[in-house]
Amino acid sequence: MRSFAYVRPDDVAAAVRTVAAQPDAKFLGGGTNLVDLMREGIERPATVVDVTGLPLEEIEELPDGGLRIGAGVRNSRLAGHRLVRSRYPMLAQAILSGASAQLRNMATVGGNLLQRTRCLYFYDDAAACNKREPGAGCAARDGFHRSGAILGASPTCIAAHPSDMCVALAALDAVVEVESVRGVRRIPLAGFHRLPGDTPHIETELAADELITAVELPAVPVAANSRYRKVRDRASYAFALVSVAAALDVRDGAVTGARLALGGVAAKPWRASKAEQALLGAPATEESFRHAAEVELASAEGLPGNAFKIDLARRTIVATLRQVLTEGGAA
Amino acid sequence: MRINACLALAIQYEGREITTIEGVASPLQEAFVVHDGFQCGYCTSGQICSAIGMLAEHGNGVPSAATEHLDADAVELTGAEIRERMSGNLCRCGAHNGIVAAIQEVAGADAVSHVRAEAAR
Ligand SMILES: Cc1cc2nc3c(=O)[nH]c(=O)nc-3n(C[C@H](O)[C@H](O)[C@H](O)COP(=O)(O)OP(=O)(O)OC[C@H]3O[C@@H](n4cnc5c(N)ncnc54)[C@H](O)[C@@H]3O)c2cc1C
Ligand code: SF4
Ligand code: FES
Repeated sequence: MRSFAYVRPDDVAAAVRTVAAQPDAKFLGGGTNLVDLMREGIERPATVVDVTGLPLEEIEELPDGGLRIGAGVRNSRLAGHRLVRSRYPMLAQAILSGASAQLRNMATVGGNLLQRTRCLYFYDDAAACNKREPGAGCAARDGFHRSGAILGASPTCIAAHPSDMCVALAALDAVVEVESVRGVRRIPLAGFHRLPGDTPHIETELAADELITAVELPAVPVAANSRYRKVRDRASYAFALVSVAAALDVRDGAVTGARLALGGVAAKPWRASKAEQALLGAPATEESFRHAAEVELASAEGLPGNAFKIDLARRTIVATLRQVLTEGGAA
Repeated sequence: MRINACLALAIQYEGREITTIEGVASPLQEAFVVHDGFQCGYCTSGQICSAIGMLAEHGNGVPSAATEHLDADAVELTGAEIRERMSGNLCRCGAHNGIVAAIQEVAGADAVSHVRAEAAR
């Protein structure tokens, strides 16, 4: 049993001051990831700063038609929100396809962004893991890596980011607002998570003392016609092998707008910009969808246990785009 | 609101009202017996607490991953909806058919007839 201090501030200034003053402090949202990791001894904060008492629970419509989502909003509330369901159905579907209803009732938006990989060896402190212990090696490479990345991995780490919500946020050009004793800054979601390179233990652009206060979504008209599709080892309550968030706008048979992002394939939610470029102006056909998927996955690399995900990703991209085309979005 | 006790840091819930199976008196309990919704009984208290929360969520119009039209005002509680909404509660004994039937009975005759039609397809 390891002891730690617990505080529950009720204003943001006090929360960021506490964490800035204590290098070993960590913010606590719903606890569905951090409590688990603390129990396993993977995370060992000396102080836990509960952020669920902070006034970060609003979902507000922005003047430009976008949405500002407080970092403390629970995943289930966000997925059920009227405007999310009608304007960003890919986001509602992504959240609803993650974890279980009980977990979504607990999990916060801020915590979801910062949830850590589900690579088995990261959780097993008897195994070598560069993410947990830089320089120790990577047991997944020659071990079980079915969930591992096929895009943007490095020799040091092949772990994938497990979030479903973040995949839709990547497709929607979300912006993360963060605050610390140094002030407020805004980080585009596309650049929020990092690829592993030589430093797989540094997973985001966030400094240890920065609090996520909100996520902002711009108005994205094409997103009203969107879906999220998740492929996994069982039909519910499992992490993605591959997932796709897709939005499509088609006029006179040609693609006039597209948003595409992939989950389960990289250390970050993967915005498929190359595929989007390939789709724009192309005829809205199966062949264009396949070509776009191939362009995006040209640099994909697999290991024996996860190379199947390259083809799976290709087929899932095509199937999701086809469904948006023929059945429309999920709204 | 249903949550996982195993991931709840107790101090975070200081001052909150907490209901566990010991505080439950629900028609679901009788329905689980009638429909063989359990075998060893290990998961049953969780299943029942979770089902109570699930029915409340459904009543509040909360959608699920099985919901076809997210923008619809009301979601019909089909067998597929119940299974998806209850997926956070695994039963190692595999009593899920009985569990779904018990929940359907309590949720109302509408859902039952719909699921029968589904099963007959
Ligand atoms: C059994 C199980 C299955 C799951 N399945 C899925 C799945 O299929 N798909 C999926 O996407 N997710 C899944 N999850 C993960 C779940 O979505 C995350 O655990 C959850 O979103 C984390 O949110 P939280 O508020 O509980 O975070 P916490 O556990 O409280 O915190 C997580 C991290 O975020 C930090 N943090 C929290 N809030 C802030 C803030 N405001 N500012 C700065 N830092 C902050 C904490 O310090 C910690 O490092 C699953 C989890 C479990 C346990
Ligand atoms: S893939 Fe990354 S997280 Fe998994 S064992 Fe290797 S270094 Fe650790
Ligand atoms: S009744 Fe045995 S685990 Fe469900």
